[in-house]
This record gives sequence, structure tokens and C-alpha cells, in this order.
Amino acid sequence: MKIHQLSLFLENQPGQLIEPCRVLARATIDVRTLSLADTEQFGILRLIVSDWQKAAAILEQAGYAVNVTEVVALEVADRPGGLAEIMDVLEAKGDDASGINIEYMYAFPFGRGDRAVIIFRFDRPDAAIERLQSAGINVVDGVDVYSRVS
Amino acid sequence: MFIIRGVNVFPSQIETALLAVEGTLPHYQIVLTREKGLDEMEVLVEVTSEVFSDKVGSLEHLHNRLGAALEHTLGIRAHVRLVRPRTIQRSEGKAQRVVDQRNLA
Repeated sequence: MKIHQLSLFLENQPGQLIEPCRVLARATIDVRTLSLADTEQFGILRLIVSDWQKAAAILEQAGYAVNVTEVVALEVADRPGGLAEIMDVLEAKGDDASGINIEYMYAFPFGRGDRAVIIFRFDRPDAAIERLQSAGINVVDGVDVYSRVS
Repeated sequence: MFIIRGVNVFPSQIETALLAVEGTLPHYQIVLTREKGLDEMEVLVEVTSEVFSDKVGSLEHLHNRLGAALEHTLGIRAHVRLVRPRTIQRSEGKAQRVVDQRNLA
């Protein structure tokens, strides 16, 4: 159920992003979606790619610090209130009195019909998946995401 | 050894501080500059996959801890700059630890 995300350490300078893009292009690895986080000093490029093991290996070989994290892809209704419904499930309440924290999130550029697909980085992914599934929210399988969500 | 703002600094002290934070010694380089008559010390530290995290907060925490450890060990402030792996020059397998750009006459 969980999806492997690669994170790369970049310095916050012009020209830093093009190199990893070229490395992935040469290896014909497709980037499904990405997010770039920045601070004054450095950046973190987070990637969901077609072949994460191969991508991690070649990026490390190319001299990058690579981190592999498990994230969760959810189908979110593409209408007003869609995201709020997801947040409702994650909020602290009832028998599980502790809320689940979202470290960060970003979306896929394509959806599934009337649903958007959003990547979530939870502090407790397993607890989040359990809660979301029992609330009837579709957690997108890794295979679907790595190949093509459409 | 070098002297900055009247304080003797040994690279081994820098290594002790970096080691204390990261557990293993990262590649590093000390850059000394002089701005408006004031000596500045910057320590470049390579970020390895082992200490790198997907979370901005974790990296900022690492950055702050390195800065605090250096200040604690040396008694003076040093700027820490996190850099990509293998970007610090190595000459004949050994890194040039101190780059002094102060043009001491």
C-alpha cells in the first residue's frame, strides 16, 4: 500500500536541478510526480518515479545523497470539501485520541476520473492507512502509481 | 592549527564536534574569510545518505546541531553550510582541510 519516494539533497543554487533530471532521463526513468522543498540554504527534491530502485542506485552513483521514504497515495474527491473529508478521518477523535500528522503532501498532475491523487507523508503511515481504509477512502496501490495513474 | 579572532583552532577540534553530532566523520572543509576586518569561519559539511532525511525540519535540525557543537567545542561561532556529497575537493585522496582566504599580509 505504501509507495517509495526518493528524496535528494540539493544546494539552493542555480543549476542544481538540471543534473538529476538529466541522470534520470539518460536512464529512461519516468518521473510520475515531484515536489521541491526549499530553505535559504538547501533544497530537497522528492520524487515518485517509474523504477525507484534503479533510480536510487543511479542517483547515488551520480553523487547524490538519496533517502527512500514510504509515503501514501490517496484518492481524493475532486470537488469542494474533498480534502476536508480526508482530514476528518485523520483528526484525533474517538478510540484513537492521537491525531496523525502530515509532514507534507503533493499531488499527481493527473487524476482518476473525478478523483485527484495526492501523496501524503504521514508520521505514522500504517495507522493512517488503517484509519483511511476503514473510512472507505481508496489508498492507491504502488503498482498503479509507478506505472500510470489515469 | 590556525588562529581566528585570537583563538587557536585545531582541525581535530572541528572533527570532534562533527563526529559527536553525526556518529561518523563527514567530509568537511574549513573556509576562512575576512569581511570588514573581521575573520569569519565557515565549515562546509557534506551531507551523506546516512544523515539525509526527506524532511526539511530534520535537515535544519542537523544544521543547527552542527553549529551548536562547533561553537561549544571551539568557543567561537562558525557558519555551517551543508553541501552535496563528493563536492569538497580531495587532493591525492586527502581533503584540503583549511582554505584560508584572509590574505594575511
